[in-house]
Amino acid sequence: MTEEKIIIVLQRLCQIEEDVSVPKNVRFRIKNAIVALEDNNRQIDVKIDKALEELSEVDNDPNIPVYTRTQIWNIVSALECK
Amino acid sequence: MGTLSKLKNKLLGTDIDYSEEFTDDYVEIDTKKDIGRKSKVVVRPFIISEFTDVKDALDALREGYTIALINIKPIRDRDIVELKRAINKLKKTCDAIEGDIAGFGEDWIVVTPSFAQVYRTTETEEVKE
Repeated sequence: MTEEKIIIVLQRLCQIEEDVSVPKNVRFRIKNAIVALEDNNRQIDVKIDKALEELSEVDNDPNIPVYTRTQIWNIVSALECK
Repeated sequence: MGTLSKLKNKLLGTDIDYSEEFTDDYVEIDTKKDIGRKSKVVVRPFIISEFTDVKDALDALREGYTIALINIKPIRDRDIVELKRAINKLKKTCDAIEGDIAGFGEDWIVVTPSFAQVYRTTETEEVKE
């Protein structure tokens, strides 16, 4: 996964994180995923793995809006794609 | 020695006799002291009772200097589906950190970072998802 794709993923995550209709706990996890992807001290694969872990916990939340869940799935697909 | 002098020595700590503290047969080690993040490789055991327990092991592995010995017996006895999820997650993280993963015995899995490799014998098993 290239840095450009990471930047695109980060932009999408930031959009979700700024969406006030998304529950706070979900936004907190999204924020953790953003922080994980922005960590320059780790290799890219490790950053993606950490972000995927946070996003998988978001997916398990029953309160997440349907359209946000779809966005999260798209982001997870993009991160898992090599 | 006057009272004032004794009080002064006590406050300044100059009257402390260290000779009894540092004897040959007893040395106190401060186990809570931080030895620094990268000063040593850590071999750390983990016990996985449910899927969420794997998170601690994953965080330790991502730091890059921890070799994880993971006991999977509780989760294996509880739910085989959760066990498969946990092992799948461990494998993905192991791939991300370019480490190595193998099972030994029925109850243990070892996961190493990139600087180490698990020696394969007939008693170690490949971890299958």
